[in-house]
Amino acid sequence: MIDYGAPPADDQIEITLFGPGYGEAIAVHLGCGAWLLVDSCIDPEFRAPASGIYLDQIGVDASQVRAIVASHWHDDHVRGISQLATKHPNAEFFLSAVFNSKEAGAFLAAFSGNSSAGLARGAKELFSAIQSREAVTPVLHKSIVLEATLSNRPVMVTALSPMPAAFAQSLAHMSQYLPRKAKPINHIPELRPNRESVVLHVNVGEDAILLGADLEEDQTSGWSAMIADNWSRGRRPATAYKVAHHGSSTGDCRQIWENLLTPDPVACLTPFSLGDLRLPTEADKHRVRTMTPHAYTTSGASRRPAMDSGQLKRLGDICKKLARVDAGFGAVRARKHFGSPSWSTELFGAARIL
Amino acid sequence: MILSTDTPINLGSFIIGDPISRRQGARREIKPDIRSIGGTSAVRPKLPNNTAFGEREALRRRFDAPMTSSLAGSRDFTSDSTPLQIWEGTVLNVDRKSGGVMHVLLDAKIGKLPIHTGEIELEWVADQDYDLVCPGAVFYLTLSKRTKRGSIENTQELRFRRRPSWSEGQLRQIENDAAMLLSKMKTPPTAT
Repeated sequence: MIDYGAPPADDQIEITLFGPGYGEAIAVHLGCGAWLLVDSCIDPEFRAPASGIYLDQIGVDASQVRAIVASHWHDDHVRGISQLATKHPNAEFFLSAVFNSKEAGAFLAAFSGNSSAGLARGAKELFSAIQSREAVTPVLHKSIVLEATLSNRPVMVTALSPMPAAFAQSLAHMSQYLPRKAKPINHIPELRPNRESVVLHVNVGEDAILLGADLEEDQTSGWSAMIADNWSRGRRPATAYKVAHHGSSTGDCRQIWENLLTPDPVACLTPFSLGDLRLPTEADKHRVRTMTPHAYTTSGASRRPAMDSGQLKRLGDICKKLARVDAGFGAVRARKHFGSPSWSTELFGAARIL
Repeated sequence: MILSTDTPINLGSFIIGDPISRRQGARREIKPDIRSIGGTSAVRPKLPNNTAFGEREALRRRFDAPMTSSLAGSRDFTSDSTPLQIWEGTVLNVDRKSGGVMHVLLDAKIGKLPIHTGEIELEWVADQDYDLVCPGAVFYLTLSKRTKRGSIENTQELRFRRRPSWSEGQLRQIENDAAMLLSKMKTPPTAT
């Protein structure tokens, strides 16, 4: 069991990123015991949401969570988020404004498992989370997720995305999979490219954090479009960055580092391994390392198959390139006192320097 | 698709109408392949001496005829076979170039094994299931051991799940659920 130690002091800002190799969750301490949770993944030891386990272990009461954000509906970002939504009834629940539409609602409903067997875990989780709440808040570019004053420090959490152009693209994508009479019921694949993701900017006093979600680069609806906007560029440059889309080149562009971040920020990411897609690649790691010397990953353990040699030989006759999806659970935690120039970083479990 | 190792195969000059080439309306000459499948049979099938292909290839290339679900229960492999591994698979994506491969997610139904990914060549997919191979499709891979006439052999079955079509009732339910989701959305404040 990972020992996370003590909670942050009231005058400390913190970002902790959790990842089991396939999955991502973030806990942000905004000061004075107030927390923001973004996305959710499962702690394999407890089989429960990692960020919920973390807060329990460091002694944070459930009522101290102010907001929960589901950046997008993909399974690796929302596993267990319906449990978080139930566990923290006082926290406001936010999701991408793309779902504030009839088509996207039908998409979630169709693949939630409510009217047929579960067809997409991510859709099921998000559907369940919304269903369990009296109200949820859809966010888009410029939406305010949280605004407060804590110990005389202004706290402002805003959404930098999705951009308006992402709506049409996302809805067109989802509409292809909307159920039609007499059409076969199938599982739904993850829809890419990802333009509906909610990128968050967290500003507490003089400090800022950028949470890149899985937003991908695109001139009209991705990073470039967002950064081209004056309001986005006017945000305080962040000293800590949750790298977008698992460090992938498709989720990166130079303007992020030049316009939204300070030089040499703390950058942390979660890996992604599914099918033939494994992120970050060696080239991705190299690219991130050239942007900052302070880069970390939550999980870098072996993906060798976890089965005995007999099972592996037998299965390996038919299925090649076998690899575990989960490459070891870990967490990267960065803390600093408000106004302090540098972050103190701790690595837990399988986490390591990138 | 069931592969077994118990029956001699007529190889001759050996041009096999394997599932892929049959689908393509052509017959493809199978090249020697060193992959090992099955191979625990104590009684080897009798193969022609003049074959240009190895036994293993011959064993691998024997495909059972398509079978209807009503016949499935009467197959003799079920009566004396023991499933060793059962995996529920989900197709992540399909690469139909160069023979064809599907990237899959595998969830063990026997034992507590973590979820794995891997790739399976499309030639393992039975003809009648071929049209079901698409991202999101679900299949079951059963690896069994059976004893027949004193010999032990490995068998494997890869079958895709055929799902029903959306019904009017389900579509109504989806419409109601979507309306319920929309009713919970409230407007966020906007930054200036």
